[in-house]
Amino acid sequence: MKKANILEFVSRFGTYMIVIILVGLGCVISDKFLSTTNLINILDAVSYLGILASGMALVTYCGQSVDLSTPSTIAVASFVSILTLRFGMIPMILCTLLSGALIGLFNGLIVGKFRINTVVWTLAVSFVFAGLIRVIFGSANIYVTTGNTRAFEQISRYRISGRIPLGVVVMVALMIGLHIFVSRSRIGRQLKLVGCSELVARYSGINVLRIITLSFVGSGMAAAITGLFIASLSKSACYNYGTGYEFRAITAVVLSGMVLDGGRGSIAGVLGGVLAIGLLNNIMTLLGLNSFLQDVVTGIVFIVIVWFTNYTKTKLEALNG
Amino acid sequence: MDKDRKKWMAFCSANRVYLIFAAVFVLMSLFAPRFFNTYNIGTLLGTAMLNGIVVIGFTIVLICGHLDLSTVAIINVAGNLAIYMVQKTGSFGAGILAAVVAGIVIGIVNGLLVTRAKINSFIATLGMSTLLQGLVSYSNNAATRSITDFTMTDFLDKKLIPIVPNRALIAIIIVLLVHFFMSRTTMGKNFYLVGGNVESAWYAGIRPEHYLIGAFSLNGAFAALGGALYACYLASAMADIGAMGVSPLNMLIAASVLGGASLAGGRGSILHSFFGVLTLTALYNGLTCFKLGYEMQIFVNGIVLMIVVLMEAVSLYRKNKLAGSKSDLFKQAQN
Amino acid sequence: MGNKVYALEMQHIVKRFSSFLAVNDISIQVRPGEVHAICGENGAGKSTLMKVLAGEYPDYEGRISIHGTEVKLDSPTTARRCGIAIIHQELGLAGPISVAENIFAGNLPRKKGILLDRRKLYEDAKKYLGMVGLSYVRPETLVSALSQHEAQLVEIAKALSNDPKILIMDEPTSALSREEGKRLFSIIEDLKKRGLAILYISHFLSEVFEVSDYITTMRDGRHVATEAKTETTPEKVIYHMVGKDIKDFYAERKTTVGSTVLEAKSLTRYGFFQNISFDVHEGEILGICGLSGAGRTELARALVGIDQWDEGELFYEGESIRNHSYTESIRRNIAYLAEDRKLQGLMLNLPIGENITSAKAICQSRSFWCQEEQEKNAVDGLMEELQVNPRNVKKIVGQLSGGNQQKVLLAKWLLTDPKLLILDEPTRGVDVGAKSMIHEAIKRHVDKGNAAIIISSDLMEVGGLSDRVLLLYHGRQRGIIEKDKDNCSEVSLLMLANGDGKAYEEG
Repeated sequence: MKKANILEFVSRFGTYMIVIILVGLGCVISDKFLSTTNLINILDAVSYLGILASGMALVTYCGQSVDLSTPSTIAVASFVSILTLRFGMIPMILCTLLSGALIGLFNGLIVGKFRINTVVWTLAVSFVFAGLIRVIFGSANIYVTTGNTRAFEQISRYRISGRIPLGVVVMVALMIGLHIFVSRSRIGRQLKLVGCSELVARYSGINVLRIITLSFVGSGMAAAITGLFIASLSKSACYNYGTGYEFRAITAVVLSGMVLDGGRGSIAGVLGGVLAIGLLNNIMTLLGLNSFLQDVVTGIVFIVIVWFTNYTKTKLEALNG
Repeated sequence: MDKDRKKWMAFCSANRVYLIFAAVFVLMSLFAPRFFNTYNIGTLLGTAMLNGIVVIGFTIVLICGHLDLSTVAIINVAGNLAIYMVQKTGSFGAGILAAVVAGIVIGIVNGLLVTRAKINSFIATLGMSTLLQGLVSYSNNAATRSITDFTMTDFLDKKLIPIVPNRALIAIIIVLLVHFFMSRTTMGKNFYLVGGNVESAWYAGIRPEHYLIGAFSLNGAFAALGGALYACYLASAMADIGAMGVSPLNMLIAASVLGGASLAGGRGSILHSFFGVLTLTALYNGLTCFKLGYEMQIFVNGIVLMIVVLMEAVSLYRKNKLAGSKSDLFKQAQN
Repeated sequence: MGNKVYALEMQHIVKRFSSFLAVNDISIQVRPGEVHAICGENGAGKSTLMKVLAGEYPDYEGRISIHGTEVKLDSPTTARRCGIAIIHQELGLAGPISVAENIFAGNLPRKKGILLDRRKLYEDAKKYLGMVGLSYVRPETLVSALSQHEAQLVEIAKALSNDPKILIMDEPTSALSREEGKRLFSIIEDLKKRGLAILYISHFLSEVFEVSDYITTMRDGRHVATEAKTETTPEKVIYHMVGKDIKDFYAERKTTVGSTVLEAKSLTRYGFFQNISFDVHEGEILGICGLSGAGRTELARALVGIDQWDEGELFYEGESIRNHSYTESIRRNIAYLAEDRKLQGLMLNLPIGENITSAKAICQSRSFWCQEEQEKNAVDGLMEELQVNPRNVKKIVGQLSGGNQQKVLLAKWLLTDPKLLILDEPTRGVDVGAKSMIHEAIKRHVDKGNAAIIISSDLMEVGGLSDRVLLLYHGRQRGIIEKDKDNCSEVSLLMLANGDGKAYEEG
């Protein structure tokens, strides 16, 4: 029984244990590590990733494995934001969010209705939108020309009371909001039930198609926010702005203890996963590791942690009979 | 009447990829400027070499019901390793051999992660892909590695038989051999059984984990062979071949799905997948004849994949809706 | 008896699951060329016994001899080597693969060491397909393209391809129509002539009496009787299967019938059921009786709006509803306990509490926030009433016994306080204690002025609980039996469901 409790604890709070270990490691490596500036830098570095991952987590939580259309959604959103800036800030933000929501709606309706393998479908969607952008705009960057350029720049540059970047605020607010929504609201609970078993959820009276669609819309909108921030940061839009983000978001989601079968984990766990990635990258940078070597280490850490999570899960199931 | 129609439909769906290939080829020949001539067709076949070899292993993994996302990274590892070995030893044989061995080792590790550590193949190979890509980029600081020895290029460009350049010939021979293995030997057939129903395979006394590890290492081997040959042909290896133009992964998934493979496992054919590659290559080649860049190719690739996947899902959805109905009652009710 | 060596001899077989004796001291002998039927109700231990023979439970006790030599069946491979072939209830075929390759899975004919001998594969496959009456199926056809009954026959061909001495058939006709079943029986006759010993498991007596030579009856894991077919009658076997009189089990219930809750008028879904008409009132339990595959579940699914029907009308509390959605019917206070609790009923990896509140707090309520906490007392009350063990809301449902899982499923729907409760196989695979607990809870709920519809293969349950019974046979209504007017005994129900006896045709 004791062993089961330990395993249960590990499978529930594993992410935060990794975070704590990494913080400890960071303190040992450098005395600058715990400085406010460095901590804010860590958060700043992962804020876009965090926004993206919290949306993607909805899809995973709902049992639909992963949304691989996010890189294209980010790219599409960056173009939409640049192109609609001339109509003012608020319309621009609304249009950007809408573009993400529409891509999510498309994904969700098709996947939910026809039960297509999510990986293949979202990948296909990703190709189509990436291709579409490149057909229309070519492979070059599109820069901001008209509209309130200064305000647009400030989205990624504004720091609250001069210290905390807006991205971090958005990430934390989004995570808190989503965490409460997922764990407390009725729809959040429906997400969980669909993730546990689509069939049982259906027989319990849940409109499964609607819930799956909702999760994809959430993922699309989160990707759109990420795209908006990236566009503001570089004051431009390009087809490849989302490249690589999907893997990092999946890493964060998987590290959070969400299994790809769905119904487990929490958004708070995703925050842990995102922090773990941020800390790992920060420590490696402090150690002076080449960015490519950082990829290698991330890959290894990722595989080892997934392995460990699986191991505790199977052990736990064996113990409980 | 009805029976004839059914037969015709069955024929169409069984030979879908050939029909689509023929359609694309004929349409392009008719409308695309400078598409239908021996030179261009030779180029087309040559272009298909890399993906044609790589799709073999990719399809075997799909037949087993898994997905290997590390395939592109293996191509890059193999290309860079092969060029590196040629730089060091001057021998192309050593380069290709080293690349293939590396590919097999990576494949075995992938297989072990999936069978022993029981990690979802999608996740395991995604992690592996990041790791390998990081290694390749680190080894040469993301630069292109090149050699000045073009003997391999010349050899691969020669035409032992008319129209078909040697590199395409090599791909075709390998594809035919593996296709023969998969469709005509008992061992090849067991891969299908493992993908079709793991439990039933286990009951029949087959060890599924051996076949899975085998499938992943075959994928490693063929991805590496394709990557190494391609790098030797170009006399250079990029750090990430997927960064420019249509990533091989897009092409591989679209081609094998077009060829009838599915992620559910148990379905697919090496020859059909190869024709899937040919179809898409012909499509791209034709688009280039229209002076359309690879931007359009990426878009078309996605559309093709989307349509094929959607069509299959819709037909399955319709079929499931009527599952379990009694045909005699159904007929009576309709009358 | 005969002096030939027994093909299969089982002596004092015992198989326990922790504390529960699933098979308790069973001895059966089967001679070559003989069909031996094993009858018993759901949960009598038939399937467990067969799994012992299939080598799936290496920890059984007792002795098994095959053709006089004692064997230890510790794995499926050993069982196969001993010449035992089993045809499972669940299909074990690979859909995307050809029929021939499925038949010879793991044992494909070779030539020159590694090459697949395709000619031999297809010729042999044709031979075995011919044996099971599928000579019209081409061996190259994919299994996914076959109908369900053809797949079932391919499964038999697959079993035959191992050249078995002993063939075990576990409810082989469950997916077959009557005509298809007839063909299966002629195949069985053929196999008998080849000297195979066949164990035939079924609870459809008409079939049993058609094919078997000997009949063994089991009840609660015990051996009740073994008789030659010629020496017994269906009534006797049913008596052995049931053991007691229904009246001992189900106390008389005072029914006070109120207004109509649900009324169906010639409801039809093409291909599944046709012209079904009935009504059910407050304070009344309507049983739906029929063999599996008769359209019972499909009817229930249409009633609650999971599937749509094509013709006919449905009235709920006097109001006509036309193709409503399932979500709507839950809001209307209709509850449907799905047939398969593991796949359709319960979230196995969630705790008891979340499972029980999932229907009410999450699906029926309309508020934005999830108000599970408010239901805490009600959940405790239900768990107390149904005696769910352990009485710990945090326990994961997947770890409970079948009986307790079923109690949790019932509690989940009772919490919504349904006006109409539709139960599909409410006590399948449930022990006797939990069964009566569930029955009591259903009766109490109905006595509060609600209505219930019970679908069950357990005829004692249908006969004992319901006030009226709707009989379905092959998608059609055979009539409605009133409990007080007609002789609504289990025996008569069984005869009717099997398509024998006096039919209560309408009109």
